[in-house]
Amino acid sequence: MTGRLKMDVRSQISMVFHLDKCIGCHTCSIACKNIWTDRKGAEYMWWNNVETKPGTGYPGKWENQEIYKGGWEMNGDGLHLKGAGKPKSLTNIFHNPHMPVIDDYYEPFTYKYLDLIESPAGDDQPTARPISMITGEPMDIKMGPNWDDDLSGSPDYARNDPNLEKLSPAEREAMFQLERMAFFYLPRICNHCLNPACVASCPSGAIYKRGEDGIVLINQEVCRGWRMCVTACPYKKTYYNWSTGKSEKCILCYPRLEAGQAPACMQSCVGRIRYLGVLLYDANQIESVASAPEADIVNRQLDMILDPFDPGVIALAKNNGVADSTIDAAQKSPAYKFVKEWDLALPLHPEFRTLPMLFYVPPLLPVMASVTKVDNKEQSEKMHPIGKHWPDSWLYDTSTEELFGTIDEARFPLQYMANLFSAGDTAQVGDRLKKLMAVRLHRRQITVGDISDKMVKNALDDSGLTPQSADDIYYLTSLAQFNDRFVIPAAHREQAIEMMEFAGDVKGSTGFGFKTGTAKRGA
Amino acid sequence: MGDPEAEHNFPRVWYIWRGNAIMGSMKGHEYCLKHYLGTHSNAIAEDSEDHTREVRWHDVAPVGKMDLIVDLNFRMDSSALYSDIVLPAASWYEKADLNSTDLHSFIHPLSAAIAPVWESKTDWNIFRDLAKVTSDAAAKYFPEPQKDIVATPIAHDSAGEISQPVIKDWYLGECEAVPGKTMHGLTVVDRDYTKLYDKFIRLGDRIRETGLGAHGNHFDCADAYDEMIASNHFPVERRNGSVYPSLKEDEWAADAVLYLSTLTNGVLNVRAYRDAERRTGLDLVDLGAGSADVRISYADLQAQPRRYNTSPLWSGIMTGGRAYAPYTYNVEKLIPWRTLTGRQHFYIDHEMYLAYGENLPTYKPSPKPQAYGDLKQTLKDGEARILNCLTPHGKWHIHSTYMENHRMLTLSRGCEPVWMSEVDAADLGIQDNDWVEVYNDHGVYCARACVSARIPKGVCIVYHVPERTVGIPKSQVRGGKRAGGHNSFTRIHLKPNFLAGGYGQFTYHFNYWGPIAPNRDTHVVVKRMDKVVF
Repeated sequence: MTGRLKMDVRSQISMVFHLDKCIGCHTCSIACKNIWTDRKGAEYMWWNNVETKPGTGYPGKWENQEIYKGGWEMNGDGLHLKGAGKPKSLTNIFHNPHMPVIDDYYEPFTYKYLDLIESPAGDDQPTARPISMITGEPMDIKMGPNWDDDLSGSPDYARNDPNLEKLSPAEREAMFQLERMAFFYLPRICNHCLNPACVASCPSGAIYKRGEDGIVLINQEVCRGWRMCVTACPYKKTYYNWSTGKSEKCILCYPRLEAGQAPACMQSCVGRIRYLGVLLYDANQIESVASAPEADIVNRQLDMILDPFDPGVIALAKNNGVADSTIDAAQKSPAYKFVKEWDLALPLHPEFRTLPMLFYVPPLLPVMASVTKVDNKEQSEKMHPIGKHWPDSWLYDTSTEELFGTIDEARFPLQYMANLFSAGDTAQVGDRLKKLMAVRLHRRQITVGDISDKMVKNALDDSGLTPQSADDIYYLTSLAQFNDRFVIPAAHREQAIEMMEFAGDVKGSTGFGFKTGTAKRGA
Repeated sequence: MGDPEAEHNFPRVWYIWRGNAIMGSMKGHEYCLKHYLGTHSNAIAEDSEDHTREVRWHDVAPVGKMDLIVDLNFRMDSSALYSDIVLPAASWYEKADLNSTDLHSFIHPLSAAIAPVWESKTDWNIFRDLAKVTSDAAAKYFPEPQKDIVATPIAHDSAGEISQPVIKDWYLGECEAVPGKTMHGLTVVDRDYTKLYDKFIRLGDRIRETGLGAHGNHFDCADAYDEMIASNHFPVERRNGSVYPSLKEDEWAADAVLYLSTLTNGVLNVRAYRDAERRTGLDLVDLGAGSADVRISYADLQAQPRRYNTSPLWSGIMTGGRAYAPYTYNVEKLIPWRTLTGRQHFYIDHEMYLAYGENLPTYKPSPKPQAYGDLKQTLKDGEARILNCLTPHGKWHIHSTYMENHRMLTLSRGCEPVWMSEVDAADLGIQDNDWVEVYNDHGVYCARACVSARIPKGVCIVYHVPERTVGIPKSQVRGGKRAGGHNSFTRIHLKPNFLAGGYGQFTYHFNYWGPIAPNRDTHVVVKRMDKVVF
């Protein structure tokens, strides 16, 4: 508290993704698609998508801001939007050269199913050929929302992942050797940033961050379709609807949240990887943190997140109109535990300087199990020639003695993880992975008992955990029920009504009346 | 029996229900098209000189054996394309039904969130209506009961499974033919087709006498049956002064099943344990004691998931809230394993297993492509790189279900691609997303290549099951005929060991043990297409 005399305490609903638990099933994407973007003009939009890493993602190479000019950059006189700042956009308002085009996403397709029924009699069965959902014409399918799923097309996609930069050629090549290869999944929605580039870039002032929960929304009444937000968002999570002429994005399912329900992506998550909770933060620090040197951004951002049990924080929160129920939720927040208490989660690409408020527990599993070269001639000779086209001289070493050591000599290079989650600083990702490993060693000792007390104690001490905190992490990671993973304050409907009219007026009139016109969605 | 290709032995009518038999299940799809359906086929293989001697050999195999295919279908899959009649069926969310699995301890009720759309009907109603029209027609065509001889395999958990200590073939005169002992069972059944509908909608009272059971267990259920009639809790059918529990509606049938099952009726469960105690001499009834009051109805299942009872008809102990794990009965309650010896086997002292070298599970290299002979015609005029083609389960879909809906096609490159290694693709001049043909003597599949570092060299993968209904172009290597699916380049390999029956654990049980075609592992040539025509 000391030294922060002028704190502006606000609340944010924040999601944590535990990547070790993601199985890449895309159920979240389907749930989101079915609810929100199954509409004309929105066919190509996936407010929630799941990417295979390494890969180039959706839209292709979205992380490469040399192409897309998203996010913020520090230059001479401070923090500026990289591509679509207001001064720039006003001069370039009718021509934005950094806009992704439909082929960077994909041309949505369906099939001409009526051909199955209406084709004339012939010697062969008919088939429904692919057609464009935009033009209705036959098309070649060349791209999709997860085109590089599970290393599909690895020569063209995974090998061109922008995060492979800074890796040595040997490290890169090792990632694609069958015996050593690993991949993991990265689910992505809007990051509901503290320093949202989309908000800053909008010439119409249509984009805003909600006071009560920090959800970033595009007002469909105000949006004029300039699409500066599409360029500005470095995560490419605003999308232009070609039918309505407005831009759209993930709304964190706020209508569901207000009814006490989890976002559809979270509700449907098969791997139960998602956690949703309140974080209190100091909004006065936003500009200075977003302007910090790249290596400091993560730690400075985590510093902005405040202790919800601190009486001073609570008082300032109340002063700012944060409801008691929100403070209560912040104290029970699973997001706070992962992000602050255990220091296990990191933001995605903090170097974009938007201060994303969704956090990822980096995946440990692809890092584990080093491979050792052995020379097993007998085994090699046994194999049938058809299966012998790769060198079979590599074996996994999964002995528990070596587990802890393998983080540094990772099967999945640490630098790659760091490029995703800590602006390239391997130490920050390494710290989190060491904790995850210490929890596993601790639990293994309890359930299997084949490793020494000393090794476990060292692992816990090194990573700053205690047996109790390791058990707590284990519980919330592996055993947590839905109510443990989803903790948000109840919506204060009475306040919402009060903003519009006297609350007593609507009592007794619910459910009866005449329809007086409906706001047309997006038009 | 000795002449399956004789005209009077053809299967003539085929009802396809809950499956995509013609594309999804049919290994040797192209041969099915030819011999069952009598339609186009992309198979070019020739018959081998060697052939079976046990049944009569026909030099020209019959073509188009089927007269009528009726398909209950709710998504117009590949089987529907080839059916004479497609009956629009209700989907999972439009009907009442029960699903369960031996992998967890819950029963899943399918429930009608909406009424069946347009003209579709529930499976139950379709079969009920078919029963009705068949009964009505039978009044004219089969007014009298007909006698049927029904052949049944010697079943697992029956005395037949330990009745023959050595392999003797009654067919070759090596032993006396004794139905149910040295040969399959034979039963004469009276079929009164005029009563098909009446029987469909009523639960007959024969179970009062026979009781129920499975897997060698048995329990009486006469009182439960009587309760169903007397309690007023179950709909009934009255006929000629008799009253029967009604099965007229799908939900009523589900409730009848639940009321007569040990898993969902605790009284019957305790009774089944007593029977098991009597048979085994072991103390078992304690496992069912806590469930004596359990009754689970269809409405209960709809309201919330419920675990069913630990039952002697089941393979794991779940009392005290324990998670299901198989074989806990055998380990903890010393119930014999369902094998010939009652123990677990690693070594099988069975003459046929010994003869095939399958008596001990040890590593055996895969036979060479030449041994499989899938490419004799394909490579007649030259050589080509042969790939081992596998058709494993897909990442998202369950066989063909969910493969071809719009969402999943969007997330799967719009087809079921051919996964290849970077190395093979480079050698064959194939780029990612090129159209390729995967073919051998049996048939051809055309799809996009998906080149990936995660595929080993020498192997390609086509997840099963693609649908012929979406985006399958015409094959260049087969002269412009429409390509098929993943089963087009497979055929049926019978594993001879699976034909050994009537020997403890190697005894037939529906959907568990029998002469299946064990795998689809095959060899193919993959070639880039330069012209794609739909």
